[in-house]
Order: sequence, then structure tokens, then C-alpha cells
Amino acid sequence: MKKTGNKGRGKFIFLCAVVFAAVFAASACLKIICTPSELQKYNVEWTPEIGCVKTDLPYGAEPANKFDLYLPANNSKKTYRLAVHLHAGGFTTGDKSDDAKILKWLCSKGYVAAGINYTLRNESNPKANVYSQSVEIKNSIPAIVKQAGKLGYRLDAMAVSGGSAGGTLAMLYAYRDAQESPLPVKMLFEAVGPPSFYPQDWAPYGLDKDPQAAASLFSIMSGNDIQPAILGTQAYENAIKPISAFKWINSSSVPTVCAYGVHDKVCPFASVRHLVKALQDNKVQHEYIEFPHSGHGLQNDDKLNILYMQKVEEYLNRYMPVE
Amino acid sequence: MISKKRIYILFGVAAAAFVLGRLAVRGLLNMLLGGTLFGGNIL
Repeated sequence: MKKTGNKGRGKFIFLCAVVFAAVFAASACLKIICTPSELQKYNVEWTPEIGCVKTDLPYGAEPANKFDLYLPANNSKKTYRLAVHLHAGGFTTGDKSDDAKILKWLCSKGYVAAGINYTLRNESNPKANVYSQSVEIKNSIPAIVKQAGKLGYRLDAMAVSGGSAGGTLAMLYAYRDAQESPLPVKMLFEAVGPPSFYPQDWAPYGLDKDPQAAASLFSIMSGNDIQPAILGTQAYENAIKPISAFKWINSSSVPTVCAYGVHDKVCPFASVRHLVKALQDNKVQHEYIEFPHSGHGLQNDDKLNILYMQKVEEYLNRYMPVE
Repeated sequence: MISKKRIYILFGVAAAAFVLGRLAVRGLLNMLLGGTLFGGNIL
């Protein structure tokens, strides 16, 4: 009798374990897969009625100098507006195809959308750095304008955007290079792109306590030879200016929507205050959205993710209206 | 035939697994990218 009872209890414990494992796995998968319903409208079902994609169009001599163009199906308009989105990947990885979702959404709104590759820093390209990448992006825009024109889409204005590393490059184009752009830059939107490079702000990497490591990393990123002795001096300011987006902000800078996570370990949150201060001091029209529970993925604040996209759409409608 | 008590226990186990599954993903992402375990999105 007792044996039967033990056997029954054993079976039940096994059943509990199976149920736990199945529900745990299903719940984890749902958490990864599910998008909040308010964000689903930015996930466009791509059809020929929306547009077409021209991939791997060249803009320079380097193998990575390629861009994809997302062209609206309606090609009867006199002029179009360009929306550029630059991919993430820590300046060392990533591809323009990673941003297909947002590029398709921008195209569905009537913009000619472009995803641009740039030479990533890796073993094959040890000399690539944030500055050289920003120069490649700058050089790509005239080629995009020319190519779009050839395909029957005459461009007359642009917005630039990006995420993480792409956010930094987008800011550099909007704040540093806009004056030389073949198209007037109307606005910028970006998320989690490092805007400044001061060792004391880069504590998650230990750079606040290790001048040698700080000098080494920022030398690599800027492409300039930075010695620990110059940290904190004007010479250091000069050395990092070419890659420090916030330093280029002035009263004529373009309207900006930006988002950052308070607990970001990749783009240290302390580095963001310089950007926010520069936008405020120069009275630049902007929306700064701070995600109090999130890190680099802006992953724990869905309501603010929705707000970010709403603001992006609001700014696009205001500064880049599609006629 | 499974008793009522055991059905309640099974529901409890399933609820705990549901919460822990989501927290595990959140915890893993927080470890990689930064973030808090609680607050923000429900679970």
C-alpha cells in the first residue's frame, strides 16, 4: 500500500518537473519573440505595392562601401526625401541588412530609405576607426543622391538615423558634416549611440581607473595617437573632437530624437549627459527619452520604446513631411 | 484520477515557471546589456 503511494507521489513530482520545464521554456520564448502590439505597426509586410529594394550599390573603393536603397512603389512624384539608417555593431560588426525592418517602414511612409555599410574595424581592417567610418558615411551620401536620381527618384532633403554605433555615426553626420551635405539635413533620430569619449564616463570598461587603457581604446576609436599624459588636457579635447558628436552641436543643429538606457553597460550612460547638455544649452529642438530600467537594448521599458517611435514619427511628419 | 490538491499544485508550478522563464530572459539580457530585474515592463 505504502509502495503504491510513494510511486504515485514520484509520478506527480515528475509531472510537476515536466510542466515547470515546458512552461519555463515557453514563457522564455514568448518573452523573446513577442513585440508589444503598439510596436507592430512598425513591422511592415513588404510587398511590391510598397516598394522595391536595390542592394549592394557601390559608393567607394573599399569592399564594404555598399548601400541598399528602398524605393517607394510610387515613382511619379517630382521629388522625394531620403531617410538614412546606420546599423549597430560596436563599429566592429553588423550589416545594413540588420536594419531591413526599419528601412522598410521608412519606405512604406514614402521615403527613399538607405542602409549603408561602412568598413568595420577587425583583423582585416585594423586601421578602420570611428573617424574613418564617419568619413565613409559622409562620402556615401552624394553617391546615394546620384544613384536615386538615376533610378528616377530626385531627392531634396534627408534625415539621418541609427542605433548604437550607427547612432554615433548618424550624430556625426548630422552635427559635424551636415553643412557639406548635398541634401539639407532636416532631422536626426538615434538610440544608444556613444556621443562622448571621456575616461571618467567609461567606468563600465574600467577606463576611469586605467589611463593607459583609456588612451589605448580612444586612440583606436579616434585614429589619433593619444598618450595617457594628455588625458584631461586641451590636446585630448582636440584629439577626440572629430568623433565626439556632442562637441559639434550648435544653435543651428538639426532637431533630434534620442533614447538612452540608464543602466547601459555598452554605451556608458554617464557619457550621455554631455549630449543632453549640449542640446539644451544650444536650444536645439529635441526629445531625449531616458529608459530608467533598461540597458543598451532599451529592453525593459516597452512604454518608452513606444514613445520613442511615436516621437520619431512625429518629428518625421513635422520636419520631413511626405507630400 | 488526479486530486484537486494536486491540480492546484500544478497550477502553482506553472505560474512560477511562467514568471521565472521571463525573468531568466530579462536577467540574461540585463547581464549582457545592463538593466534592472524589476520595474518597467510587467515581468
